[in-house]
Amino acid sequence: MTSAEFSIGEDALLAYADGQLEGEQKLAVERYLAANPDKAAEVAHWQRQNEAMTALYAGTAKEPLPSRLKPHRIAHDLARQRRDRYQFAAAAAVLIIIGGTIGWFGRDAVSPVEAQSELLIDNAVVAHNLFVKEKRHAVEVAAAEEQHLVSWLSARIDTPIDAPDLSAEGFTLVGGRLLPAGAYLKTGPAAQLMYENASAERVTLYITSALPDKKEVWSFETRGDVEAYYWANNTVTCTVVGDVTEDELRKLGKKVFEQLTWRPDSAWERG
Amino acid sequence: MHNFLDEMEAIVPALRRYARALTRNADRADDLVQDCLERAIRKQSLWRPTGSLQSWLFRMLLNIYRNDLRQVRRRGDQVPIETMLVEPAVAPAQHGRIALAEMARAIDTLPGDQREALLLVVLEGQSYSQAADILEIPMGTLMSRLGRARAALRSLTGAGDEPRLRTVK
Repeated sequence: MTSAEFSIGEDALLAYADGQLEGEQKLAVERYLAANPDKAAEVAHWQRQNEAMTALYAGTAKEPLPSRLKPHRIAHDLARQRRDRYQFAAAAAVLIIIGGTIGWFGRDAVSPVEAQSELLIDNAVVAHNLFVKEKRHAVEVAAAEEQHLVSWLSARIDTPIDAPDLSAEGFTLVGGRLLPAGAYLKTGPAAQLMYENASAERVTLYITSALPDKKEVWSFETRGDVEAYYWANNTVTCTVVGDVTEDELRKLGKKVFEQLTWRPDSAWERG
Repeated sequence: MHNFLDEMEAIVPALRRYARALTRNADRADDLVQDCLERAIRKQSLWRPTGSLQSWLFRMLLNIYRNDLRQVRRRGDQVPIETMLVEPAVAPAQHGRIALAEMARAIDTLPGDQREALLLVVLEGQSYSQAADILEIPMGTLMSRLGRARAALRSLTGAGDEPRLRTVK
């Protein structure tokens, strides 16, 4: 044995078996193995281990690649997934915006303007029936404070109004009150003015700011025991309610309309 | 981008081979490789072109493999037993050869770290320094894992000092 052989340990033998050695080192190990048959047998066994492992699995690398393992295809799929996610998010955002817009601008379509006048008349009739029965609490602010009453109500309904003078028809102002807007109404709160004649017959005016469409509408309706005369224009809506004859109510309505809209020449009789 | 993908594609067969040997299940191996490639493409910006793409991919594959193993261990293996036990269709052992089925089973019984190291060197032909780099271990640790794996395989494949004398009927 030469001194060089002593420096060859298991690592060198492993490296030889695994084909990691070249040149001088390789030759040195071969010389060592020639002189050490038991080590040579061990190395030979390792090499057969390698052959077996190669026989078992090397063929895998020669199989054609399935498309799911092709990097170009994977990159393409990943990019498409990302794009789809963005498109989905963008589409969802657009739908939300469209939905919101339709919901907002379409709110007139869902609750038609026609229904608004019906609601106003309903409210006016309900409020009329409720308060005309009251003796001491018929109004919130009495006619004695008329100036205060009209300026307060004008401010609250956001529409300048005066209490129409109906003395020619035999009705005097009792007073008025503020009422909340109904849940489905597009007007603000309502002002109710109450009038009374010598026979203690009462008439109420239910006044709100104009509806969003600002259309001129006239309508005469009978609700239960009372008659209601409704009209709307670009400044106010007003429902005159009373347990009086239609003829009387039309006359009262005309007066109210003329005074509330300051247009004595307007086409009142269209209704 | 295309260079990256082309380079990657050239490495896929080796990744598949390694994954197949680690898992001994063709479908699981391909799942593993697919996961690895997807991750690599997503993390493409993290790869430094100065390093070896091959080492980077093998390292990633091993990480996914080990994570999967941990999960399988935690929830119990869900792979049907018959697919686990499929033996490669190989020729019967001849004189002086190690029976392949025996070898496959023997590799399975090796501790994971030894199996990873041995297959990387023997099957993938990685140099010791490349293998140590992929496994992120010092060279000495790699050598000792290889040495122990060799000794274990030798006893498991029942080969004495004279394997040529073995007869397999």
